[in-house]
Amino acid sequence: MKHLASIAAIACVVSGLALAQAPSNPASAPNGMSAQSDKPTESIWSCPVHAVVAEQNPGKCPICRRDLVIVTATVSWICPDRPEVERPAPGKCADGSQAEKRYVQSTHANHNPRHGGLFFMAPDLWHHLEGTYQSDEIFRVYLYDDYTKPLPADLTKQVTGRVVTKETFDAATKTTKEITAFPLRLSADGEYLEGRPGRMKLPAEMTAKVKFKTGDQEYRFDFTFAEFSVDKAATAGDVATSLFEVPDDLSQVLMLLDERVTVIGDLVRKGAFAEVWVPAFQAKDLALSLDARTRTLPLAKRAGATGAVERLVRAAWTLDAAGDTGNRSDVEQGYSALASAAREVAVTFGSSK
Amino acid sequence: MTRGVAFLLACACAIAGVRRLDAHKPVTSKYTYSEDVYPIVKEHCGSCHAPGGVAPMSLLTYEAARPWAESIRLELTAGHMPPWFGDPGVAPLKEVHKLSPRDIDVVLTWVSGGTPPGPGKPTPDVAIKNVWRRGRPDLTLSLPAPFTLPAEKSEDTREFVLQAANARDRLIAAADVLPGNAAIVHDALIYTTGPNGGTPSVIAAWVPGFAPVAAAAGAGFLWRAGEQLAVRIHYKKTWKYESKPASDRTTVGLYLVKGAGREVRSLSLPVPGAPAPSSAGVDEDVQALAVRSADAPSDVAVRIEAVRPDGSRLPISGFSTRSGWDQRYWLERPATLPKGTHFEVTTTGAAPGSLRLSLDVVKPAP
Repeated sequence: MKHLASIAAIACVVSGLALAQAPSNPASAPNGMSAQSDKPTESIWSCPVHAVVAEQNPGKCPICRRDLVIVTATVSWICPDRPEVERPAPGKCADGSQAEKRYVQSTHANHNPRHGGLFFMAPDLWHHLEGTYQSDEIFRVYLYDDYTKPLPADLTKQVTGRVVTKETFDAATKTTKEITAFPLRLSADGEYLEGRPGRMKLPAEMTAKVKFKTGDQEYRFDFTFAEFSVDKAATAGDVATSLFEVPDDLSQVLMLLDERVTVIGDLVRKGAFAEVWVPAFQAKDLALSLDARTRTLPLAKRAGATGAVERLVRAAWTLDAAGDTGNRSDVEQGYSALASAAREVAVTFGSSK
Repeated sequence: MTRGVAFLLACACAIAGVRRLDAHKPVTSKYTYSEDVYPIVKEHCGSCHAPGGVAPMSLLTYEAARPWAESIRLELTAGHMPPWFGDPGVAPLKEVHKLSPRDIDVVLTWVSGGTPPGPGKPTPDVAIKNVWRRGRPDLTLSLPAPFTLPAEKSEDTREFVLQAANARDRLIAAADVLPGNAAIVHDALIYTTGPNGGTPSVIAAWVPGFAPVAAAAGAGFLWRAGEQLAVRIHYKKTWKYESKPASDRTTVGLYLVKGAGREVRSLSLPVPGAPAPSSAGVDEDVQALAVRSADAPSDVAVRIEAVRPDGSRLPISGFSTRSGWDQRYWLERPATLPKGTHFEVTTTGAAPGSLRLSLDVVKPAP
């Protein structure tokens, strides 16, 4: 079976949409997603994982005990008999009861760097940050909120951290020892944090270790700058000139899958974490195309083949998420799982050729 | 976090010839709830994730499912849901409860890509009926009195004697649990012990959502005359009951073997790193029916192989573990094991810790 869609056109629309669309306004989204920009919004405290939580005060998520974070949610009112109908204002339902207030969190959006750097999302799923290393040899950290809007000044002032350029890891004790680190300090204009590691050989590897407020957990973000960052507006990247197809031929599929694993490995080694999702998703779709072939395998091998494809699909999505957060260890684990699943897929389907 | 059908953009990028890529875009999922996701969750999740079900939320309407998108993403990528962790690739198993790779991809694309609702009328949020999944049991036994999990406790494990002494030997083919309060009954172990306690003999390890599987035809777990039948219930409140007292009076249903039958025995299996069981093999010709884990930590991948006296090896079962979700995995077909067969267990992933494994066997039918 061939997957061939006119996706170049779709991709252009998608790119344009992503750039043109304000992060909090999915009004132009297709597939029946309702516009939300005309609804009132409120700041509430919610869980990064369980958006069903809507509290008026900070605290812990009753489901997973994570710290609640402040989010912007659109407000509407619903009646229990017609929960799909959102009312713009409070009022009475058909049965005489008061309509219930409902909060809906808009999904955040643009993960593109704004200053030509490398962009990651924090594991708290709320903060975002972008690191740049420009030719002036200063490492800068720009901070963003859940909508990837610049973090307000009062929250930026609470952020502390350092940039580590050399460290060692003891596998036996699983402890990291920092050899060279530089404090991150608020810039004079309050726009970003900066550290001064000096001149580093390119590609330059450095790790930002950041606490978003006192008492918070410290998160690490592993940056690898292949070249000096150039501060510029976000772009949609280069327009592709040809399409990626899933071929009919089994040998070709397996070869492409193997290539994707190699590409991911190269990206991981280079520290290009924000890019690993592309070959990871390609590997996933190659594997899914193979899953449709399991009925051609001997009966005894089918369940194993499906299991291998399932592991690869999950690993691709895990790697995608890990790439977003910029933690080298998580990315490497995700890559290891995907590569292992790909080997299983290759062995299972390869022997059926 | 939003991801879209990021792959659309990826597809547009040739494997060769792309010089640079930005971070992926928050485009909207090509899969919608009503068209793509609802059919999947209705079939595979709807027995728990429905009004009145044991899960903390329904997934059967867009409004109910959407706020759980990130949680669904975490559970699916970790392989934690559905909570059945058998690996039919090692050996075929009964009652496989797994999402297909495509279904996993559809749901992950939707939860990561803007959770679009899709066209059409709202899907019905039909409450599930808490019923016996194998039909009316031969014998039902309820907790002697309602149990209340107090407001200040979110979790507890309690043991209840359901019947003090059995009047005669009985063979139990299967057992099921009908929670009195599905929102707090997380899992349960049904077992028999001597009149004064002693080593329990496990009849069933119950987790919500799955119909009980009967042992092989004419085979059952022996509940001896004079022994008591008990249930150990792990109570865990769903978040809606946080800081509220919650009461339960669960009922256990037993399906009995009619007439003379064969007794199912449980053999302890060796766990790497743990003291070897007193008998690590079979002392008569048997058929293996199922394997069961107990006290398992999360994320241990277990593989069990039988080594017959002639040296030939037979994969028996493979599964991974998750703390709090110990269960029994039934072999699709009984595995014939001659006297003298022993077992090799390998574990990968997390350390097996307190994990215990047992193999349920029965004499071959005459």
